[in-house]
Amino acid sequence: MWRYVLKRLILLIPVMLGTILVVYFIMDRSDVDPARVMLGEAATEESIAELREELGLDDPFVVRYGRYLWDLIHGDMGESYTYRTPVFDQIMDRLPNTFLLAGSGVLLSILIGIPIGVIAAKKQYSLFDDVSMVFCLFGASAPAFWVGLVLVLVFSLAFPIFPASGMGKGVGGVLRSLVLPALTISFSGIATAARTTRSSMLEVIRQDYVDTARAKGTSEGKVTVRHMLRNALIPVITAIGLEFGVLLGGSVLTETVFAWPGIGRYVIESIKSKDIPSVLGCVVTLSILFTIVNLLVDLLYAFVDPRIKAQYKRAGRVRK
Amino acid sequence: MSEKQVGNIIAKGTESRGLWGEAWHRFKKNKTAIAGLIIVILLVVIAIATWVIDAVTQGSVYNAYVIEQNLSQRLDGPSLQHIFGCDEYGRDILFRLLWGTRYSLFIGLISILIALVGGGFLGAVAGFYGGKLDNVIMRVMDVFLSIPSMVMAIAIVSALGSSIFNLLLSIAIPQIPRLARIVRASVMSVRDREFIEATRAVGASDSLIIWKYILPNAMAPIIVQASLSVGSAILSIAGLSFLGIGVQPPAPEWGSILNSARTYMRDAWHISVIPGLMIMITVLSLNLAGDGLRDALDPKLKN
Repeated sequence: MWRYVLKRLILLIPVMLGTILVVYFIMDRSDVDPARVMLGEAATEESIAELREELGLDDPFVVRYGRYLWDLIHGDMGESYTYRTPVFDQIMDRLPNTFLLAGSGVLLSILIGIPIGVIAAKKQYSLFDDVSMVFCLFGASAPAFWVGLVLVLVFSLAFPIFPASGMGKGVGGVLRSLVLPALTISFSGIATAARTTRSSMLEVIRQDYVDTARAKGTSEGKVTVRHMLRNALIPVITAIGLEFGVLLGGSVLTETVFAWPGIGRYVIESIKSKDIPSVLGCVVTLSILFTIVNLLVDLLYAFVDPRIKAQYKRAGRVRK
Repeated sequence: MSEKQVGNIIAKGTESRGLWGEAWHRFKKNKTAIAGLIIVILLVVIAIATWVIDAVTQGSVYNAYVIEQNLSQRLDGPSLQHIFGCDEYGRDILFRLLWGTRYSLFIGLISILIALVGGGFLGAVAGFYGGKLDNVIMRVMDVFLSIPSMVMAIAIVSALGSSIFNLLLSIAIPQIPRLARIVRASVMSVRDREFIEATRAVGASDSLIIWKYILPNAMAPIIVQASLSVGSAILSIAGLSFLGIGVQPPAPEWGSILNSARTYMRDAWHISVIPGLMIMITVLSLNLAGDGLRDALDPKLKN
């Protein structure tokens, strides 16, 4: 097992290098001239050329990419044009807030989505099943940012229970201001988790071993959790893992709706002020996070499903 | 029972409708899928109709009802005259929504077509030739898959600007690896069948084999995935426009209407609710039709 983990970690390196290359390449197409932005409107052509020379902006692409990587490894993402401070610090200031939001999004998807799926499967064709599956259909089709707007209309304007934007002070304040953004960001996750859990539960619900467990006198609750849910959980883990990527992308939208001080809002601010190093830094950070989460989900998968573990023991690397 | 009758029954029982006939037969029975399809067709008709109206009137209807400001009815709520109310410039929201249909549908469909061509080519080559080429292509696809699609779209638009072409690219590129994977898997499942060997034996070229014999037989999952992707493409466009980096105002794109509505939420709830409903209904119908298509084309794919 540890060899498998190690192998996956080593394989992560080329993927990350490639990811950063793609992102760097895209951002490099920008026609914003960093030297011009840094020197301001009044700068002469000579001083711009001089600064370009100094910053190495005229070097070949490969050289600049190499330099960016080298700096990145040392925790240097360049300097923000707007804040005139290191991009790395700006991102590290906001990263915990994005983690908090995305983490509570995943948590809500699990805590709300899985029970809905389980109950819907156990009471297939009941009213609860119908209602929750219709909700799931809508949940997967509604734009997350719009769900946020509607939540604000209802719970901040019509009934002022939760703040409409920003992040509160103190633990209570933070939690109170977290409720609406977390619900928003987890909306489609709840739907996905519930739908996957339901269909996956339906596959195991009539298996012989479930009847065997019941016949042995195990309580219905135990049968549901230990014998059904545990076997049904694997596709659910995959679905939630995939959803995390959607969530990270969605953090940009949700943070914009609620003025949540995270990376997502920072990237949009930076785009509007043409602060290229900040945009690049945010995109790189979000992509690296996504890669790591994907790896963790894959590893979790292998831990949960003994069949996968066995596969790797036997045949080494197996293609997905 | 005469021999003839038995023969008739057998003929009826084994009557072949072909892949598409069979699929349509199954699709027809799926009520929600049909409902989805009808709404999608309705939206397409609206998009084309507004286009035709603009062409015939040389944009005068568009200018008078969709773009021109009428501040006397600013932020008016829904009424008989304006059933969805008016926006912050007094423009009728119903008209703006109708004229906005084309952006979502057009960008959604075209971007998925681009992704289908790109992903289809890469996936088909990877699946058909296998080996090193397959490995290289799929590892590159892995890299693209490890960038969240919304984040990639944001990067592309922020670097290249938000012209319609760049928007199409920014939504198509993140979809390419997903489609490539599916095309590759379908091609691989057909590649080693006897009839492919037979065509090769009579001297058909690789491209002919892929185009004429492999792709038509590998089409079902590809079409299903593509049709389900249109919905998420539409959500991406709406998202980008909402962030202010997609379709730019005064164009009546749905997400962009929601973006400007945010400022007026306190005074005019209808501007921030109705366009979102429109997006949701569109994506929902596409998903319903796509799900129906999946069940109809390949009942085994049903999860």
